[in-house]
Amino acid sequence: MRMPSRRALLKGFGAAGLLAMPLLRSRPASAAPIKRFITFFSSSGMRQDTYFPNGSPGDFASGNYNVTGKTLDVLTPHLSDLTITKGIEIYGAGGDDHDAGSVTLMTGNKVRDPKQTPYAMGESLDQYLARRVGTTTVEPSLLVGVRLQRNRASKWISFDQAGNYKDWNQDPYSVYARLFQGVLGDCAGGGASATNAAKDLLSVRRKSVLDSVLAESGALKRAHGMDAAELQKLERLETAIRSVERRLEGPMGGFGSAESCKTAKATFEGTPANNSDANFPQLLKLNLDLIALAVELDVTRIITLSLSLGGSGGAPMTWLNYNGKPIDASHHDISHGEQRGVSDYLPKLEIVDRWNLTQYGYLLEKLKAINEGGATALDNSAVWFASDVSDGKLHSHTDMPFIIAGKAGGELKTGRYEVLQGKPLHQRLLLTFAHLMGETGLTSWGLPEPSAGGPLLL
Amino acid sequence: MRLPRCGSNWSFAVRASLVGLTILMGACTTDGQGHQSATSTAGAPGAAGPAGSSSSATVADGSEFFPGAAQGVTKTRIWQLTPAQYITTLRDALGVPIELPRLLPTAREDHFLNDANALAVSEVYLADLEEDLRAQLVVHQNAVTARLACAVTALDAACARTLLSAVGAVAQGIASPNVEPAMQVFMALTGQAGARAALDDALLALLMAPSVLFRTELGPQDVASATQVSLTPVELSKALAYAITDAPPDQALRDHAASTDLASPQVFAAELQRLLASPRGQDGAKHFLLDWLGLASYGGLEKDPNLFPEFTAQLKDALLHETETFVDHVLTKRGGSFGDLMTLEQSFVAPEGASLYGLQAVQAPGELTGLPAGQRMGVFTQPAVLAAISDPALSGVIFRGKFVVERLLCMTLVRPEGLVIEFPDFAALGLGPDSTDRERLATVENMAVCGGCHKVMHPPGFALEHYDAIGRYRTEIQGKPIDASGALTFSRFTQAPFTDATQMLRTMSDSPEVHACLARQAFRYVFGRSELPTDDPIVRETYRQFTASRNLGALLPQLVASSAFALRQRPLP
Repeated sequence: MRMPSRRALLKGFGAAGLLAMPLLRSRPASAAPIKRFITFFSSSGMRQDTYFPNGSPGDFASGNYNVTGKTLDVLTPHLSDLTITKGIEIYGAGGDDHDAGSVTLMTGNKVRDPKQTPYAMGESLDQYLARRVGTTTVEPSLLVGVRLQRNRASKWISFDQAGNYKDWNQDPYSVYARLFQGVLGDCAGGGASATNAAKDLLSVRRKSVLDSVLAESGALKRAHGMDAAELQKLERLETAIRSVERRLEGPMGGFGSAESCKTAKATFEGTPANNSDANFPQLLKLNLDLIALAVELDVTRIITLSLSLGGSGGAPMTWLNYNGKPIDASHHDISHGEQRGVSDYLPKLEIVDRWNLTQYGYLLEKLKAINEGGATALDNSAVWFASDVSDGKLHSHTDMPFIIAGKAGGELKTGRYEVLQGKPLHQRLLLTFAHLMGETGLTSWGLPEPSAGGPLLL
Repeated sequence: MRLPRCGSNWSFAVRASLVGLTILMGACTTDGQGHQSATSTAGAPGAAGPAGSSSSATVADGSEFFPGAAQGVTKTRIWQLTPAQYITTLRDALGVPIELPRLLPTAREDHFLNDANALAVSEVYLADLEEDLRAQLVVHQNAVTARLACAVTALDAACARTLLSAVGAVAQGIASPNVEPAMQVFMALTGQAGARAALDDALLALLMAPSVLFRTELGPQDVASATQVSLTPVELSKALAYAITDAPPDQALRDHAASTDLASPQVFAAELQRLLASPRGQDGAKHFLLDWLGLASYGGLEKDPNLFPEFTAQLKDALLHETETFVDHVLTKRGGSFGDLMTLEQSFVAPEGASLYGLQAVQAPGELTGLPAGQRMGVFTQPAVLAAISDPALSGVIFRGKFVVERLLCMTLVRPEGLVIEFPDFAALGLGPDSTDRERLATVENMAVCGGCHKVMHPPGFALEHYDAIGRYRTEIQGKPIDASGALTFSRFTQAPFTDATQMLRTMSDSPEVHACLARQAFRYVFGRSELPTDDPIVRETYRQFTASRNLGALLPQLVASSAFALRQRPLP
């Protein structure tokens, strides 16, 4: 079913008509599931010995494995929705491990040159899927990051076809204002209110300005002396302009509940939290709430989140306590505790890992609460817990602590622990996600050789 | 016990690549059984070792570092303004103080902010810009209205065009700017939105256009085929202004561009001197040095509030102000002396920063305070610089060491492709929690492959261990005295052993390698790209003059005055 555009709604119904409409409907049960691919990225991996489940691989229901005493125990309520994997290896792309792990994570490709821009070779899977399945939503994809303060190569994991990074939205309030505020309106009758005529005029004005800039860019592209690299600079500008334009008049979903509308307005239209390290937990929660809202309203189907960039400089996790004292280092720095001579880094790491997994669990919980005609939004999604290294201390790329939550609309069996033999490279897992999202024609992702063997887990 | 190893490949070299001069840092060799051993040599290709084969003559004339003979030409390109340059341009054009705090540097931290390839208009950047600049026009509504040549009630196309032309002349740096696209926006919206609102939209279209977001270096557009072109007078005026003042051309320079006499070497030279003497010219050199010192993104710096509750916004600002004042002082009061920048044992310590230095009292603002003997040496031991290259909580030996070798020696540490790390098992090596960083990191230095680069990064990193993550002086870490001694044995001309950072930095300030690096850094800043071997002639000349004069203020103008500055190579069709 194609939703009418917001502008069409405004024209067709007028404010009064919209007020009378039950804005927030449920999806019809018969509709095909809306599948989403969500990446939950947390750098620096996991403390290995306290992470992987006890017992042997197999089905959760059969009791082969359990997570008692492991950091995964914080995901106990979700075990039947998870595919926990061990054995997948990140392809060694070159460069610093954090940088390489981040850039190859979704490109499945090598690092072009750690000193050059663009840094990546080729597109990341999320951006490919955004081009393929993201065309029916107002946002092809949503990229949100929390306190990614250093502009080092490991900051970015999403890349366009030319290998240029796609930037993170690091201010949840801006994302809310741009993507949701207009859709939600006053929670009584949709986006319709007395101010809509004014808003519509503002949209026309903004679009007129952006169209003008777009045309100017087109003119400059025809100048003498522009080679491919120079044209790319303008193409990035044009992509950016089109993304703002799409928001000004794109089709909007609207499957949300009045309750989540009110919650969102209360959360995001109040006094904003400072964008500071100290507010990290609050900022992350805002982002996770935004992701759930984006899913509920079908604003986008491809979502990528980053909690931290690989390498030094992350937020000290002072909101966590160990032995009655706040933890005074970032996840990255704690993970290197041994090299730094910190004797108690291992128990601290366990606390950090549990906290990160708890945040993942919070997102799963939110997605489970969204009913989509008999199934939950989580059932219809593949939510990947991803990282750039497996053991933060060792910078290793083997035995990546990858988890997939959700059934991707029923195509992925969950409630299992898979130990994959022979160190399959992560390109094959990317292929799995591509196939789950309907791109079954793909036989490789990124580099062909590491993709050999095809998708995993299916 | 199995030795820790660092690479899975059997044989490759770790390169510390100086463009134009490659120093072989370490080699990982194999005996055919898969056993690896590290060797370390230093020297130019073909050189036997640290002593090298250089002569004082080749060092003095720079051919030691920059042997290339043929001068290359930068390709034609468009160059995005940095957020700061763009904001200054808007302020000049509109005549009001435009604030766009959400526009943050987009370049990667290992580039200068103005790197032409690293700058980008991302979706987030554009969305922030579009919203915030629109809001700024509303904030400054009255000031803009006051510039109209007509009453706001009589605002028609002709009146709008007059204002747009005046704003566009500054924003585009051209006497007869192209305001047609903006006028079209005005005409299209004036009926619907009203003329005054439509004027804001037209201004936005004008100021967000690629002709303002970017500047071109494409050469004359009426020449279609030439492969080598000179910048047009307008392009040249912008290239000159942004390189020297980090800001758009002023009225006088725009006039020279308009009359096209800027192409005359005499006029160009005179304009260069005029800008250098202007306040913005002094700021330009300062911006270059602060960016080089790693302070470009200082505003976003945070420290662990539990460990450093004293690192308040006030202290943070005071520390940056100290270093800015210091750099300014060196440039304007000490003839741009590189030696003073590197070795002055005085600083403009603010009262807030006194305790970091262990001082009871400081001089009045704008006065130099003497620093505790033997503890500090020039700008690299100032708290702002140290804090910027430290973790929120920890000093960070490796990161700091990498910073020093990158910024002062221009070494690029490159990891071989396919390298798989296997960190040492410190516990198995008998290095428990009581061991020092030195002991643990020594293990890494002895590892095949890894050791090549870590032997380079560790000594300068350890040298700075007397300063914690906010730059406070300390004498011990976890109850153990600090050993900051070492030597840059990998280098050719900066090898003298040191007991701590003060000695290391004093040696560096006189090192031809460091002077060569400054010439490279200036090239990167002025040309917005990394130097290539084909850039050797002008970098060599820059180095030659710098190593003789040690004048930081002369670095940028020298490159701007070179013939390569105004020439561009068009791609073959």
